[in-house]
Amino acid sequence: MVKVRESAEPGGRVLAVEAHDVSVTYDRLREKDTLIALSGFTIDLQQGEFLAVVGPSGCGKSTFLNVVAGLTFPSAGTVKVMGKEVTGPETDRAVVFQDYALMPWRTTEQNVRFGLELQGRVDASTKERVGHYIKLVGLEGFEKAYPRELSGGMRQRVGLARALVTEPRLLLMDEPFAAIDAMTREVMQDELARIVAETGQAIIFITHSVDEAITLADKIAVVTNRPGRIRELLTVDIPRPRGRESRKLPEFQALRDHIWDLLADDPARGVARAAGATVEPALQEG
Amino acid sequence: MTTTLRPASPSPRTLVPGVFRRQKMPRRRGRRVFSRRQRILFSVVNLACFFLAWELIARYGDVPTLFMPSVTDVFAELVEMSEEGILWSNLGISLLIYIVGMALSLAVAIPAGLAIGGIKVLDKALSTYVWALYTMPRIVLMPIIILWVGINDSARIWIIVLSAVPATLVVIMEGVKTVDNSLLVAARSFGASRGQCFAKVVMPSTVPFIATGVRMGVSRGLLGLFIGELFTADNGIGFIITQAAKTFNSAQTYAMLLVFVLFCVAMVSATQLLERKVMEGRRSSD
Ligand SMILES: Nc1ncnc2c1ncn2[C@@H]1O[C@H](COP(=O)(O)OP(=O)(O)OP(=O)(O)O)[C@@H](O)[C@H]1O
Ligand SMILES: [Mg+2]
Repeated sequence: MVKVRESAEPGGRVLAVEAHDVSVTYDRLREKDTLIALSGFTIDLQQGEFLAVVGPSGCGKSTFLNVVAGLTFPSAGTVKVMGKEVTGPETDRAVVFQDYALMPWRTTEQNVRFGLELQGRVDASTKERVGHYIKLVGLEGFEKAYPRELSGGMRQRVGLARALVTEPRLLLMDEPFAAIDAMTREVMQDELARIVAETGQAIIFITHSVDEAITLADKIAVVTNRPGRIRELLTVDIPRPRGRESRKLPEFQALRDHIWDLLADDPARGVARAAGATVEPALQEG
Repeated sequence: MTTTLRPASPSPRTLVPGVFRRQKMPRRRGRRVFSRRQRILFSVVNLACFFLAWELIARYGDVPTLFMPSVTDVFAELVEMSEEGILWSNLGISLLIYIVGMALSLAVAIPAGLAIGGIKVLDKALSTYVWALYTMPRIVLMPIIILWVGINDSARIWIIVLSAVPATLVVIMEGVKTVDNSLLVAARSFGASRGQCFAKVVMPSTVPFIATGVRMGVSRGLLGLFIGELFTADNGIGFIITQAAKTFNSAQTYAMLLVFVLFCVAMVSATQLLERKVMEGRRSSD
C-alpha cells in the first residue's frame, strides 16, 4: 500500500469527487456548544473509483456522505462533484441511506421506482428496469411487499435497488450491507463489484467492516474520531476479483492489520468539542 | 425463549405459510367472535330493551308525561309528522345545510391544515389562533355570527364551518409534523422539489391524519348544526325541537331528538366507512 498524494488527475478528465478541506460543524442548542463533525476533509476521487470510508461510530462518515450528496452544507471548504460545485442534490448522484428511508406506504416495486418518479424518468421501460434491479438485489417475489413485511436486510436491499435503478454516475452508500447476513453480504459485494466494473460508476462506500473495505475498494479513507479527520488515505492494489481466497493473501492481512492499528491508536480518541467535555466513543468492529 | 428437548412436532405457528403476509392474529382463547348476524341481532335486542324500559317507566313510573312521553306517543308523533311532511322537509333542510357546511369546511380545513403544518412561518403565525378557536366553545361565536350575517341559512353554515374547521385543522396540522424527516431527506437526495416532497412524501404520510381529522370535523360540525338551528333557524330539526319544547309538546321534542340522534349516527358511520375504505385502498393498491 502506498499513501496517495492528493493531486488533480493527470489525464485532464474531471474528477468524480473533489473535496477540499471540508469542515462541518453543528451548533448544538441544548448543549450550547459547537460540535465539529468533520474537519479538514480532503479527498479526490477519480471516475470509476471506489472509495471506502472506515472509522468508528460517530466520526462523521455519514456527515461527509451527506455533504457530497448535497444534503448538508459544509461550514468551510469546497466540494465538487463531476467538476461542479455542490449546491444541492443532483440526479447524477444517488444515496443508499443507513436507515433505509423507505416509504412505508409503497411496495418494494413502488419504492424502487421512487427516484425515477421524482426525476421524471418514468416511461415504458421503467417496469422492466425496476424488475431487473429488484432481481439483482435478490428480492424477486417481494415486489408487492410493503417495507413492514420485509426483514431489515431486505429493506436495505430495497434502498440499494432504489439508488441503483437511477444509474447515477456517483453512488453514495452508507453502510449498505450492515444489516445483511454474511452470506448474502458476500453475494451483494460480488454483485456490486460486477456492477461497478460494468457501469464505471464512482462510489463512496461507508462501512464498519475493514474486510469489506479492502475487498471492494480502490482507496480506503481511515477516519478518526471527533473531529472527523482523515487519518490516512490508503490505496488497495490487491488484484481483482477479490474473493474469499484473497483474504488469506499476505497483502490483504497486512493492510487489515495496518487499518486496525490506525483505528485502535486514535490520537483524537474522545473529543474535540468546543466545550471540552470528554466522551469516549465506541469503536465498532465490522 | 425456552428450549425444549422435543424435536418432533414443531410449533404450528412457525409452519404457517407466507410468513410475510399480513395475518389475522390468532384468535385468543375465551374471547368470542360474533358473526354478522349475531351482531345485528344483538343490536336489535339491545334497542328493543331500551325502548321497552322507556315505555315501562313512562307508563308505570311516577314521571309526568311532560318530562317523559311514552315511546308509543313519540312514534305516533313521528308517523304523524312524516305524513304531514314536516319531518321530511325539515330533515332535508338540515341535511342540505349540513352537507354544504361540511363541504366548505373540508375544502378549507384540509389544504389549510397541510399548509400550516408544512410551512413553518404559517405555523408560527397561525397555530395559536387555530388552537384558541379549537378550544373555545363555539357557541360563544353565535352572537357575532348573527351580528355579521343575520338570522338566516348562512349563519347556520357559518357556525358549522367554524365548528368543524378547527377540529379537522388541528389533527391534520399536527399530522404533517409527524412526517419522518429521513423520508424527506431521501426524496431530496433524488432531487425532489418542494412540491414533489409535499406530494410524494408529506401527503401520503398524512393520509391517516386526514381521515381522522375529517371524522373529528364531522362530529364537531353536527354540534355546530344543532347550535345554529337552536339560535337562528326557522326550519330544520333543531328548530322543530326548540319550537316543540317551547310549546310543551314533549312527544314532538323527543321524536325530533330521536331523529337528530339518528342523523348524527348516520353521518359518523358514513365517515367511518369512508375512512376504512381509504385505509384499505392505501394498503392494497398504490
Ligand atoms: N443534525 C445533527 N445535529 C447535531 N449533531 C449531529 C447531527 N448530525 C450528526 N451529528 C453529529 O455529528 C457526528 C457525526 O455523525 P455521523 O452521523 O456523520 O457519524 P457516522 O460516522 O456516520 O457514525 P455511524 O457509523 O454510527 O453511522 C456525531 O457526533 C453526531 O452526533
Ligand atoms: Mg452513519
